[in-house]
Amino acid sequence: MKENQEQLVAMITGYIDGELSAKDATKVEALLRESKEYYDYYLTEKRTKELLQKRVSILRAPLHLRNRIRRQLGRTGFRPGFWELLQGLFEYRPLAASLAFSVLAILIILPNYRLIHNSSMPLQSQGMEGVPAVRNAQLAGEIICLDCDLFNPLLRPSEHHDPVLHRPGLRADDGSIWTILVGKAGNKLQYSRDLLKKRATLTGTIFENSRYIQVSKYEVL
Amino acid sequence: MPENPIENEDSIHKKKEFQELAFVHMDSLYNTALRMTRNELDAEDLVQDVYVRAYRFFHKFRRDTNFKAWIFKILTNTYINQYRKKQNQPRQVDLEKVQNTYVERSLDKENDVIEGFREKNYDSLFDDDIRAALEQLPDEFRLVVLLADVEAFSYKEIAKVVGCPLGTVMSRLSRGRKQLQNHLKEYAVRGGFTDKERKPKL
Repeated sequence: MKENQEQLVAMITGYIDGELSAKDATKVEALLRESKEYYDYYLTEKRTKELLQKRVSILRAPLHLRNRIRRQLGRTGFRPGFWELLQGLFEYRPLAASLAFSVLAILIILPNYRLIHNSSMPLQSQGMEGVPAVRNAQLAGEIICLDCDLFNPLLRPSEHHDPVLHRPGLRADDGSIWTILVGKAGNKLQYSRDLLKKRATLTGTIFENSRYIQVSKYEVL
Repeated sequence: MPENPIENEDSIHKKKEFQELAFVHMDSLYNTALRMTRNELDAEDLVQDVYVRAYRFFHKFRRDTNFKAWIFKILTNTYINQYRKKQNQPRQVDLEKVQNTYVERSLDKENDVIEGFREKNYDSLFDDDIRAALEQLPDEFRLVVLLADVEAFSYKEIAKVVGCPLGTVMSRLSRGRKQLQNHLKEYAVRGGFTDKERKPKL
């Protein structure tokens, strides 16, 4: 009953504004003829509308506002910047924007999921794409002492290391410097000072990112 | 001589087109903004924001649609997103509550609402009373009343501006005018322009 009455009142509003279909307008006209209460309501609402139309004064926008806007438009670019677009998107379509943002985040994260997921196993994960970080390989280059070749130029003579304790390394043919880890073959390299400055091929396990090599065998060229 | 030296002919042409389309609506926008914000300074800032936004998004405006409705939609969105947030006590309305109140009042024969409130009573009201009565309306109702009765928008245009179905527009307008009548009646009674004791029918 209440809903019905509210609907009828809303229809009277639509009738006053000329927004009803012909069928609904006829229905309202019949109602107004039959019911004095609804007719009174109709007259009152119509008068309210007319009052607003007649008596709500229309002010002119201040001249300084017009000038301000003209100046502002003169300084404003025609198209919004990226951040403005993004801000507008979140302001006016917060749900759609959040959804799009989430999808984008998933698309970015998903290909890297393995990387994040395996972060507890850095040896396997930090290699170059498609190449494991730890693998067996053979390196060719010149055997050097890391201290002599890398640090000595930076140190004062008194700071030079004990020449007995050379720290073996390899300057590979591609220019990269590798540290030879202590091990069976590694120890031989460390204590065989005559190998310094010789070319050799080292075979063993390499740790690509940290440039270490665990030598299993070597061959002096 | 362009104001911005890097403007090319195309952008000058677009700016001119925008100004021709938009500046004729400035009074309407300013008046609506003034009645929404209830503050001249805020209204000016709001209108300026609306023009800047409309200008920047002008490439999205479809030429076969109603520019006035388009720019009023920007006004509505900007007001809702920026200015209403500024207010300490946003005037939001519980539509369900208003609906119930309205129906209850309509059915309550002891309430003095409409009857006896004739044209002469309206004429006796001051413009300030009408303005104050409008300002008392909740935002959702005030906007549709302003758009329909002051700016003469069609329901279809209002639905686009406000972003709700046609039926909701009609319903909000009906309730808005009804509340307005109640407020106006209060002013008229207070001013001694109408008979308080007369009873309503609806």
